[in-house]
Amino acid sequence: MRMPMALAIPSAMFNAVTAAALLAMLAGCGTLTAPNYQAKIANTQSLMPLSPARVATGEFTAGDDKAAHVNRLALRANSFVSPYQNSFVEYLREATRIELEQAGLYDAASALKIEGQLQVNTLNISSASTGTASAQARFILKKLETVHYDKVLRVTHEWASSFIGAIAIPAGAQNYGAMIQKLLGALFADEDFKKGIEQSRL
Amino acid sequence: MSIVQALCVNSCLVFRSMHLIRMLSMLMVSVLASGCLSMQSYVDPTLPSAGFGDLKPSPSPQPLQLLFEFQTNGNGNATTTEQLRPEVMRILNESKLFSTVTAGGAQQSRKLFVTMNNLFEKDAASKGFATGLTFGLAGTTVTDRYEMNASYQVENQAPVHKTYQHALHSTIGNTKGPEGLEPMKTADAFRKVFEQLLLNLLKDLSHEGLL
Repeated sequence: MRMPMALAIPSAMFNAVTAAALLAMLAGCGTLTAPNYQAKIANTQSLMPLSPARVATGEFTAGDDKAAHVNRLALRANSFVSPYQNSFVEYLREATRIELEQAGLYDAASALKIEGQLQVNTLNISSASTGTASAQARFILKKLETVHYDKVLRVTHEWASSFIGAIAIPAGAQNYGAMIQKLLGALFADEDFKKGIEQSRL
Repeated sequence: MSIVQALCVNSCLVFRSMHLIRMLSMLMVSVLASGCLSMQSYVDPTLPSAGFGDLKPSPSPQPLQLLFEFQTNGNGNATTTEQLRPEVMRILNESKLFSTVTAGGAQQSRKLFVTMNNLFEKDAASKGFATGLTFGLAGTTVTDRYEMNASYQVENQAPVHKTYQHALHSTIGNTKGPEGLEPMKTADAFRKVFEQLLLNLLKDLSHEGLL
């Protein structure tokens, strides 16, 4: 049996069994690390037509000294931290790199760079029925000193949650990544971003 | 271990990682499996069965780039994506339909995009809650549905899209499973569902002469 057992618990069954045991995880009190970011296929498909462009990731910041604010997330009573240097700014940079790499566009040495400012970053699973997450980021596409794209994008993301912490907390952790996928999806699908990539190659 | 002991898992445990949550959940599952509450899973019979022997060998296997994503109710599930990708690679390699299979950024002229979406009943938790309150007397059946969307793309050719659906039924506590279906351990049943979805895709692609 090569497949990890933990995977073999389908969601409906997982939810039912978890609830059946009445596990009192409603008030956890520790630190959870977000799963490593995974590229979204829809994003890859948005980026692939931009080949043979090659793009690097540049500087990513929180902007306006909000680093502490955008890095302070929680899932119920648990702190929720980034797997990348404990920084959600770094999470966004790494997510951008992973998306570019999967689409075959990433080149760390490229003069064309995506820079980012994570301005808003929220995650909320206090509701018994719906989890929400949102992010706002300014993305700049720059080749040397020439700016080819500069826009602030914002997304909100909702999912079915639960009053049972054992269900709500893992779902919240997974859906943070889904929210960032959505944010980057908005960037990669933006016609102005695509035009910026094309202009940079002229 | 009884269910009472399972209930005593302290709510103030320090959850340092998703793995710990998963581990605790699995512990709970194990407790239930061996204790008061019985669990069985059943593979839905609707999707035609397919095995490696049903694949039509490729006349000249080519390199393939795999792009895989697992979703839960349409939302990306990073943990499961990362954990299942090697299993998808294994099935593709064992099919012998491709000379090499790579995942991630290594670009190949042939690409297979696979999105697997686990759709589940929103009231599964409340059903289970009732089962737990009655120590399994009020048994329940829940269904996990799986929808797999695949796109096979060869450079300079139109992409080929395929969609497959499957389901896994699970019973918890005192209830009968679906008539005529073989009860299985959940892990085995899930593996079968997962493999069947991929093998049906490969069977169709190979018999249509696309590989």
